Amino acid sequence: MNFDPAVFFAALTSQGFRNGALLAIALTFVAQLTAVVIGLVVALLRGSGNRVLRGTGWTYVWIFRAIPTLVQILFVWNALPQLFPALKEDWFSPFIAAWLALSINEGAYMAEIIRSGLLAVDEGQQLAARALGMTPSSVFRRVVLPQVTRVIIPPTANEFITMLKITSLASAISLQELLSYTQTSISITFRFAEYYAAAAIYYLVIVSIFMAFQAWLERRFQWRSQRGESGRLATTLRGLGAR
Amino acid sequence: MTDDHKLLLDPALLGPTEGDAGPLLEAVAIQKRYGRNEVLRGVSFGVERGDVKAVLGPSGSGKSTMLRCLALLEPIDAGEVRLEGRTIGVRPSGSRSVRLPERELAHQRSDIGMVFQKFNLFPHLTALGNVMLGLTEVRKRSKADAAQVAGDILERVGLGARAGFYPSELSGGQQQRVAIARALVMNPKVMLFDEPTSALDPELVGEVLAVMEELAREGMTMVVVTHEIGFARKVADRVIMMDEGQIIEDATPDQFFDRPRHERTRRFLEAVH
Amino acid sequence: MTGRSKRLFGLVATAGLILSACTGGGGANSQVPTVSGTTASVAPTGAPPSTAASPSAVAITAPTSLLKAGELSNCVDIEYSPMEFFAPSDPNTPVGFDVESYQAVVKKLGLTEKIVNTGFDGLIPALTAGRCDIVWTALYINEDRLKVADAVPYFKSSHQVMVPAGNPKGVKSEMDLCGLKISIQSGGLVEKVSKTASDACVAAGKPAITIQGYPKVADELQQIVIGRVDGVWETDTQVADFRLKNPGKYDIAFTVGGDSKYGIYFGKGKADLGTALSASLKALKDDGTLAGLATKYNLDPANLDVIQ
Repeated sequence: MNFDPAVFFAALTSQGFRNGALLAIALTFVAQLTAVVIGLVVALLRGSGNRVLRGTGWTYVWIFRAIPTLVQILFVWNALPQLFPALKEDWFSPFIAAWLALSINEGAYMAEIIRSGLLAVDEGQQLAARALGMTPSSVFRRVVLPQVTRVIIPPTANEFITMLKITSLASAISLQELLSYTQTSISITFRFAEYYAAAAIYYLVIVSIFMAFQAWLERRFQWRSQRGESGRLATTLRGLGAR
Repeated sequence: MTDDHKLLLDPALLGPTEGDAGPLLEAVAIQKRYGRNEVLRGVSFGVERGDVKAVLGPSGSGKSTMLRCLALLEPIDAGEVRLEGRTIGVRPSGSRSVRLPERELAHQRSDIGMVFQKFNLFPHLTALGNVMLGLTEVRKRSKADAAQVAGDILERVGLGARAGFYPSELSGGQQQRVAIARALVMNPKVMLFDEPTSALDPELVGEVLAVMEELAREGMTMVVVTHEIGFARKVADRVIMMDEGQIIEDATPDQFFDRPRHERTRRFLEAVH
Repeated sequence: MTGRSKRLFGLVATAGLILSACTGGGGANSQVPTVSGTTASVAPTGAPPSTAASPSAVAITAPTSLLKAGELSNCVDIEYSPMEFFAPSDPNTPVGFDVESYQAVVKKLGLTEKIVNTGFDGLIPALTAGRCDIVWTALYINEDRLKVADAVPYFKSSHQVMVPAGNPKGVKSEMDLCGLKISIQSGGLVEKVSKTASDACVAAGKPAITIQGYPKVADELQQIVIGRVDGVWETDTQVADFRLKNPGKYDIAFTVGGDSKYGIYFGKGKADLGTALSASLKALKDDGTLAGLATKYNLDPANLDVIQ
């Protein structure tokens, strides 16, 4: 076996790879964002005082975590149109179908992450907020949600990175994203090392960018003032006798 | 105190200190159950305008619960809470009363300030942000307005320089003072303190008690659950002892500490002295 | 880690992966030469020889460059009826034109068979990595592939476009597909050819052909069943099979011009394997075995003419 650098670099800079990568990133973003919204709703349902709402939330998480993601994608693409003929039309593209299936699937996982985030917020927080006279929605928006957000950043970033890989499942319903383009190129040319290497580089770069974004986000939620740092340092120095 | 010492309270907002018949805040035969556990078994007491009432008692006696019921943070099973003579927290429904929905409760709560043992400061906001939140969210003041008022009151509790710090960067005593400022900035008619210094290191207790003393001196109506006997003796107008969900003693500080009437009060005082 | 050192780490890791794959593949090529298997020819079974050249006197030398002595391993993507698929009655037994032709060749060479079920895109990596001797799975021969492996042709095949019965959109040629939707199996020759057709549409000022590529044939065919696509662009063998199983529902719109051949692929530098395969195919064609198999699967025996 040999490795042809020319093929590798051609692949790395090819339009097909670039488009596939952009498609994968776009699908990751929209699916994950939608999943966070769905997850928040379901998490709130699960924490509701109403038994019917609680049961609905639980059932959602149960069903959509149990069924394999690929099956959900194939179901949305191949089975739903038989129930709703409108889904055969052009507007219901593989991207939209994958967006739908992946959001619903990931929403179940996000619901559990957000639920654990809600549990992590100290009870005294909403007690103090209510004591000030804040309404339930104010309490949630201004006091609880910021704290939940901080707690769920690491696991959500994890899900985000996983989602990037999961979007490759959409190749089963003809979405030409990064991985399917790689496999197609290999089938036609029989050169796999070069194409796998190029694909690996793309995924690495994308994930690295995600990770940098996560680090930035975590820094923003550190809740430390600049002065606080220097203040404590100054206090420590003073304490050590440096006058 | 120097002459140009800033007042914590705005006298204009305080209202008349004499002439009002009846207590400012009153608990009338309050009963409360958690499951099968009767935490409050008919508690009645009132605090007059401008007075400071200290509440002592062993843990589990229901002191914190009573405070939370007074602040409308917990529903009660029987009895009434009255502010300025008016029953709050419920509305009539036929011949009975039902608890108001949260949105309306919230409105009534803003007249009652509460300070907690664990401070419960909002960690994602600076000291200034913490104090401002009530003004922007509940009183609907503009951000600029709120920032100014909040900065001012932080100045008065001695934390003007720390306004930009986050709770995690403040000492316990500083955090509790921010908590007091946060409650104070809402111009409450009465302030409730739930063991405000119990979670503090001994050397930090003093700075918090000083602020509370100042408040009392300026005429704030206060109910303070505390273990600080010295503070109670010095600042309180009346002292109550709670035990097993009931008030068993209600007297002036001198009477309470020197000539307690009940055996349980005596035993409790011996234990904490 | 800073961003820059992260990237460096990534490049180093990838380089490491590639190097290990290279050496893995290279190592497998240095095979232990075997002299197993008999070299006697096998008496013809089934139909008697029809041509003058009598196969019984020709001895076919068994190949020596086999991975495992006495065994001709074959990587197959067993999801392509009628060439290779699992028998409905027995989900563990592969059958089909390719499979049974392979089994006839194995017998001819006096070797044992071993079929490795491999996903479509893993076939050639498996070949070059030395996991199988040949890949006999209805793969077209094209120049790109011949750069990487050698092939012996065995069946002529062309592409066809299949449409619902009655050809409602009146598709008679590539240009009639402009603006319509078709489904194909991704990763094959069809991908290239259909894209070329779509480009021709655009060049002529017409809308492009919407081409949906599916990794699995089952999903590809499902789209015309649902009614999402106007046609399926597939090999003639696949179309024949599908129409056999769904009589009366689908028509052939047209056959795509140009000649293509299916080939048996094997690793470079194994001339003896190529010779053995060619000789066996010729013998089996001459004695009618292959023709019999073709007819069994509703294929046209005339396509065997590519066997020289």
